Amino acid sequence: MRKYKQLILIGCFFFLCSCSQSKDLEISGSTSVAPLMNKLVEQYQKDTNQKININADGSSAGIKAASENLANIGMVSREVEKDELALGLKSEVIAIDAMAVIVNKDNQVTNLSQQELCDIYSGKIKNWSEVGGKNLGIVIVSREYGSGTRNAFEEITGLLNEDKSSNTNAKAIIVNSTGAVIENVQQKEGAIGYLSLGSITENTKTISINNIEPTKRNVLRNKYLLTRNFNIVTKNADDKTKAFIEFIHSEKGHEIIAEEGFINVSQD
Amino acid sequence: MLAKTKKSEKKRLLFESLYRLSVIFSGLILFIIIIFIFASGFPALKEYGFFEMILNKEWSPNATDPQFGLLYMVLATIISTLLSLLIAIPIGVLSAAYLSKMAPKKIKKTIMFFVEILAGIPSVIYGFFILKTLVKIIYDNGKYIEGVSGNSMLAAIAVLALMSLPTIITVSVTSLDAINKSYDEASYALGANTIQTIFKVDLRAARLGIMSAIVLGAGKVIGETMAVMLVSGNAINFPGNLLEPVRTLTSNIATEMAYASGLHQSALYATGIILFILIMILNYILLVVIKRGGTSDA
Repeated sequence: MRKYKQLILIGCFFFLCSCSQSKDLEISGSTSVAPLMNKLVEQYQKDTNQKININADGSSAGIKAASENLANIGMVSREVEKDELALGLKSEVIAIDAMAVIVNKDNQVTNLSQQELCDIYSGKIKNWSEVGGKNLGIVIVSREYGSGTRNAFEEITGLLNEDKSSNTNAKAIIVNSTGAVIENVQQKEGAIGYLSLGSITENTKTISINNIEPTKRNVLRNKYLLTRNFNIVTKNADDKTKAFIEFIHSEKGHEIIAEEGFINVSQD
Repeated sequence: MLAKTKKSEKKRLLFESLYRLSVIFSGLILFIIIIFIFASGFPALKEYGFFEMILNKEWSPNATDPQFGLLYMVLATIISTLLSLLIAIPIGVLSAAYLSKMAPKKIKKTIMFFVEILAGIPSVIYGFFILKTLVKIIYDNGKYIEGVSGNSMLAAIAVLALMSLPTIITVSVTSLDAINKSYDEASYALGANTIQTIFKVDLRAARLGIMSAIVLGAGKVIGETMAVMLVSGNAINFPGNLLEPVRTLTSNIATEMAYASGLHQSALYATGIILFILIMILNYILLVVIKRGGTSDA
C-alpha cells in the first residue's frame, strides 16, 4: 500500500510539472542575445511570477523554433532575412550591440578606416607606423571561434570569406573573454582588440572607425560602422508573450538593457 | 563465542563489499568518462575522419564547409611537452640527488617543505606568475619585432617545466631515499667519491622510481590547461618559433567550449579523444622504456 502511495505522489509531481511547463514562456535563439535576455527575464520573473525558459542555440535555430511554434520568442543577432519573414514571423529590434576597437593608452593612433582595420586583423598591416603610429609591431587580440562578438566583428569589417571561413591572422592571440581582451591591450603597447561598446573601461583607449567616434549618439544615428541589431521574432504572439515584450520596451527594461552595455531603441 | 565470530564475520563481509564497491566505483567513472567523450566526439570524427583530423592543419569550425584539422595543435602539444620535460628532468633529478644524498638534514627538510607546497599550488597561479613575468619580459624586449606578443610557446614551456618540477623532485627523492644504505657504503669503500656514487650507483638503483617520477611529470604537463591557456596565446599556428603563440589540444577545448554547438562542439570532444590517445601512447612508450631499463642489468 505504501508503495502505491509513493507512486501516486510521484505521478502527481510529474503531472504538476508538466502542467506548469505548458504555461511557461519559451525563448530560443542567439547566444549573443541570451545573456541580455537572461537579465530581462530575471527581473520580469521577480515582478510577475511568469515562468520563462531560455534556450541559447543560435539565431537560425531561434527563427526556426519561433516559426514552428516551438518557442514563443526567437532571439536573432543578425538581420532577419526576407524568406524567413515570409514564414509569418514578426521581427522587432530590442537593443543595439555596438562594438568598440581598443588600443593601448600609449598608442597615438586615434582613428582607423574599415579597410585598415580589416588589413590589421588579416595581417597585411603589421606595424603601427603604417597607419600613422609609432614604429611598433601590432599585436592582434581576437576572440575564439563561436563567440558572437567575433562573428559580428568579422562580418562587419569584411574578415569573413564567402564560405564563412575567417581571414584573421593565424598568429593573433585568441582569448575567450572580454576581460582578457582588455587585460592584453592594457599590458601590451602594440595591442589592438575589440569588445562590446558597453564593456569599455578607462584602462584602454577607444578609437574611431572611419572618423566616427563610437558613442551612443552616433550608433543611434546609424553612423557608426561596428553595430548589429538584437532582434526578436514572434509568430502570432499570445497575451503572455505580448506582455513580456511590452516589459522589454518599458522603462525598466530599457534600464536593464543599458546596464548590460547595450543601446536602447525607443519605439515609435 | 560463536555469536562473536559470526558478528566479526558479518563485519568482515560488510567491509569487503565496501572495498569492492569503491573499486567498482572508480573503475566505473573512468568507463563512463570514456564512453561519454567518445560518444560526444563521434559525430565529428565520423563526419570529418580521424586521420583527416590529425593530419589537416586547417581549423575553421564556423565555415559553411567546416574544417577540424588539429595538426598544429597536436604538434604544439608534443613539442611543448617534450621541451618542458627536457628542462624539468635534469633540474628535477639533480636536485633530488642533492637533497637525498648530499644535503644536510635540516636543509633537506626545509627545501622539501617548500617543494611540497609548490606541488600543491593550483596551476592557474603558475600561469598568472609566468604571465606577469616571462610574458612581459618577452614582450618588452621584442615589441619592435612584428609577430612578438609575449604570449608564446616559450612561456608555455616555462610554465609546464615549472609545474612538473615539484612532482619530479618529490617522487625522485622518495625513491633515492629508499635505496639500501649498503650500496652507498660499498661504493665509498671502493674509493668512489660522492658524485661518482650518485651517478654510478644511486641514480641507477633508483631508476624505476625516477622513471615513474618522469611519467607523473609528463602526465601533468600534457594535460595542463588553465596555465597554458593563459600564456600560450592560443593561436592556431605552426609551432616552429618559440616566440610565437601556439595552441595546445587542451586549451583548444577550454577556449572554445563555451559557445560551441553542434558539430563544432563534437569536434572539441574529438579533440579530447585525440588527447586521450596521445596520453595513452606517451604512457605506453614510457612503460616500454622503463621495462627495458629494468631488465637490462637487473
